[in-house]
Amino acid sequence: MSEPIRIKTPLSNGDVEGLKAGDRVLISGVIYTGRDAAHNRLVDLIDRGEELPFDIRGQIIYYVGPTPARPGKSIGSAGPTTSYRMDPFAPKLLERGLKGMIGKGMRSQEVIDAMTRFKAVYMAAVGGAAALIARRIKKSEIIAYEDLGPEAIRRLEVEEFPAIVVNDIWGNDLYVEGVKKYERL
Amino acid sequence: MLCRKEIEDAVETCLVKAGTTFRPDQLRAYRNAISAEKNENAKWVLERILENAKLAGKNTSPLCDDTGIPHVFINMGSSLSLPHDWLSAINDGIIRGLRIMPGRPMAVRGNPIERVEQSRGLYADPGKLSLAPVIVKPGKGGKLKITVLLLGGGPEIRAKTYRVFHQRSIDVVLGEAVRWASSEAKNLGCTPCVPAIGIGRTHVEASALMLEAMKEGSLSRQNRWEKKVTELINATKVGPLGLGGDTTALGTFMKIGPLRASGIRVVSMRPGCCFEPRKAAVVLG
Repeated sequence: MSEPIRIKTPLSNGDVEGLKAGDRVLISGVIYTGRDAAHNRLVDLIDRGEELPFDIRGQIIYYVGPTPARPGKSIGSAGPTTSYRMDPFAPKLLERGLKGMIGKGMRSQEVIDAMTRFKAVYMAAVGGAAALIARRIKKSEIIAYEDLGPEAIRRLEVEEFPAIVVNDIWGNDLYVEGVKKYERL
Repeated sequence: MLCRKEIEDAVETCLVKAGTTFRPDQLRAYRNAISAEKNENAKWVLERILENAKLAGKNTSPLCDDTGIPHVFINMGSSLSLPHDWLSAINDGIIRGLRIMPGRPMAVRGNPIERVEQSRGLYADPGKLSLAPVIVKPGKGGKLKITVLLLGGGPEIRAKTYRVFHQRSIDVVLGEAVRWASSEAKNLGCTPCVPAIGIGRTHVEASALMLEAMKEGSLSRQNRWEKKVTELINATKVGPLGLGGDTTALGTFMKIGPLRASGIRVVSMRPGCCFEPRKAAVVLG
């Protein structure tokens, strides 16, 4: 098996151009969390012409609602949630410079088209590795929407966060192509 | 007579164990799947799930950030003597377990309409996540068997309870359940799945049988029909995490209840995710 690609945030267009569907990656740097309730509020801000609570250019949003942290830990278990709930909101964030999304499950055609248009990638985290992923999160702080509890927006500092590229900027979709490949075997 | 504290403590322990550990049959099934899987990415995913389970068990940390909705199944022996507040002891054990694990604080605040609209936010206390209705069935002698199951949200999005025109054929009935499971597996995101199937007379009964199938089922002990369902789902090649591969389902749990003279069977199918069923049991008395 080939070695994973190490990437650092924030991502440039050059970074995402170098990623292909099927690549395993290890992400280091800062990433942000958000689920549908937070995305709804972010898009409301965009629609009203107001500033977002963080500079979204070059960033990655991880779709997660972690469990509470135990004493001495930065975060609780933190596995990916189903991504399609964020599909109605994602294109507007991609248009504003979001470069990566991490979740699980298929994306809509609108999101896939927006990734191609605005140069961004969608990555799947292992939906079954919440405790393992938590070890790669070194620091966590809520930066917006604390009232949403586990669904608040968090700023995470991660080291070698493992994921697989599902949708790249050329419109490739590992969920479709991976299954087709193994149907033939 | 069992005492209240004994019941409460046992329920708390079961909840934490269910949410943080893999059972031996799950560990065995994953090891087998890893050796059989041909897709390198799929193998990598299965290895990470197994590594996650070992880490979660070692640290008693939740297997998944979605710690699930607690369900309790009771088998009550006929000669058992219980304190009058045994049901409240179970409820309190669930609350304690949710706070200790800790469960994700997912309980929605407000009146019924506000809860539906999720307009008043969430409770910060994981213990506010109230217990689903408890199912009680007869058990052995003076024994009380308590099984705690934690049901995650992903499979709830993909589950279905509906009537099937059986045409006097088990193949027809299970074929429909396989179609439901196969079409949902690719969207689940947390494959390999473990579908649980209940077949009964009413929607309530079929759902209860589906839960009982999860309670009783073992991935190391599969009957021919369960094996057949698993094989048909695996033929989709959806694979772990939907990335393609041989392991779309690790196994199947099925329970058929009493049935009535009718052209239909009510089938409840829930495609449990890669951690499920998260369950733990204790026998008291």
